[in-house]
Amino acid sequence: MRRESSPLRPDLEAHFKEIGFAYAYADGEPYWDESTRYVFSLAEIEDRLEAPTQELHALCLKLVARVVASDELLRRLKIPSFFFDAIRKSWARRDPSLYGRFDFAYDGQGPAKLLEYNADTPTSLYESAVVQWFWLEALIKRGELPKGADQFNSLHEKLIARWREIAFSRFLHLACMARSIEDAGTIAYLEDCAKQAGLSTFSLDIADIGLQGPAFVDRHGRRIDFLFKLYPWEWMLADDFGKQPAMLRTRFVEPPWKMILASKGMLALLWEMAPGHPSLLACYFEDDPHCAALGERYARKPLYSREGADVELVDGATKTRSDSDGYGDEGFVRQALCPLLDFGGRRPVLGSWLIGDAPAGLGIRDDTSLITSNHSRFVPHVILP
Amino acid sequence: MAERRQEFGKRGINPPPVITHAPQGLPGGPEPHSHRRLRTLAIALGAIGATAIGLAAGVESGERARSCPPPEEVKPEDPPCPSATSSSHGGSGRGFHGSWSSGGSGESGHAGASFGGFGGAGSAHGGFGGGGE
Repeated sequence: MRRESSPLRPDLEAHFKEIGFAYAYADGEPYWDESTRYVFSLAEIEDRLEAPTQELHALCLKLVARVVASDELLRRLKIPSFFFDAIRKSWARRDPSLYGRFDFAYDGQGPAKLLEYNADTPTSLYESAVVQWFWLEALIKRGELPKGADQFNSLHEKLIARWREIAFSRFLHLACMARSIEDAGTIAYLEDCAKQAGLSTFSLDIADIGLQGPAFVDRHGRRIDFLFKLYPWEWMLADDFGKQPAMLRTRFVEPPWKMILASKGMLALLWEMAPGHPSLLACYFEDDPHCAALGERYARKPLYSREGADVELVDGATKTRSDSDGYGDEGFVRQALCPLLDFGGRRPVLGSWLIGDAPAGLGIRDDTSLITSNHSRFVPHVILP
Repeated sequence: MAERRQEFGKRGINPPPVITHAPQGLPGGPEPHSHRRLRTLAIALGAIGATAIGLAAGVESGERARSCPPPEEVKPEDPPCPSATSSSHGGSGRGFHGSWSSGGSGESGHAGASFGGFGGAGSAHGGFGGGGE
């Protein structure tokens, strides 16, 4: 893997407007950065990203099977007991997953190391699936990249195929916090994929989900039987409607069993299940005496948090804290410190996508900070022969 | 060693994109939408986000309003109908755009439904604006 300069396309703003990339300059800062690119060999992608993604996915499913069988493990992940049954039933039914994203640290030498798994509400999907693909095509067309250049990216076609596979012609509602332009953009993209798969759909704000008797409904009175929610499970369960019987009636994407994998506690349970796995970092619940084995070099992560918030990196006497957003009430894990590779002050995290059960693509965000956050920039990648 | 695939993103079908390039979907997919519907989608996706989606829905609403069943006859499989024509939907009073609006907790909605029971926990973590990561 290397990071190198890359020529900017002309009329970028018009292009982004044309393709609907509304958050390229979120908060006035450039989020999309094509002045540079990451370059991989095919072997790196296949052996050090795709293969670990497939392997970790299999491990995760094994972990879920283990956790659903144990009240103790569910409690360890701070999942509310009233939801145990819903999780077990969704797993027993094998309620299908649409997608997920493993975030890896990769040093260009050994296997990629799992930093965390965004199993419930991953974003950066549109830029991974579409925006960087347009970038690749444009640079090939302009002769800035060779014709044989490729990208780890079959996200779009796999998303359409997966919707077709899991929806069974059901009417699909998609909900998010619409005030977030990134979340609304993600929903719009997923809705477009669903339409291309032949589904009838409707998008709504999460607050516009209503409760009518035993069922959730939209503002038009339609029952919400099949809901994609870009809204974390732990928030849903904390909300007023989270304990309603309607929660058992609606089928959700991502399904309830994904909540097990959305907790950072899964990193500790994975390590417990597969200690020494080449793609895992040592990780323990903070109240586990084994934490001492990490010494003074670890990342302290809340069991539930978003966008790198409330994370602390401890490296001896040096402590780096991310922005706080009120996470941590459920406890923390400590994970062995794995500094990101430094490219002249930019540090990339590699987001490796799963669609259904298949590795499907790569999105890279880099940052000057040691902790990747929602201020990080998305940088496109290319596979060169 | 496993046989190398030559290309990741171009496995046997045309390259992904997408919204503007393949509005008819992939081969073997369903019947394409009408031209008007496609145009509406293009508008919505041309400015992804709440405002644009509301606009796209609004473009359709006038035509749909003529064929909307009364609320008590709406079935789950029915296409959306603009709520602006019915006071029983409660909510924002901004018609179809209201589908992206935030109803207050306990707010009454369609035929006695209550709204606003989701979203509170997300608002408590408002620093990052949404539930994605």
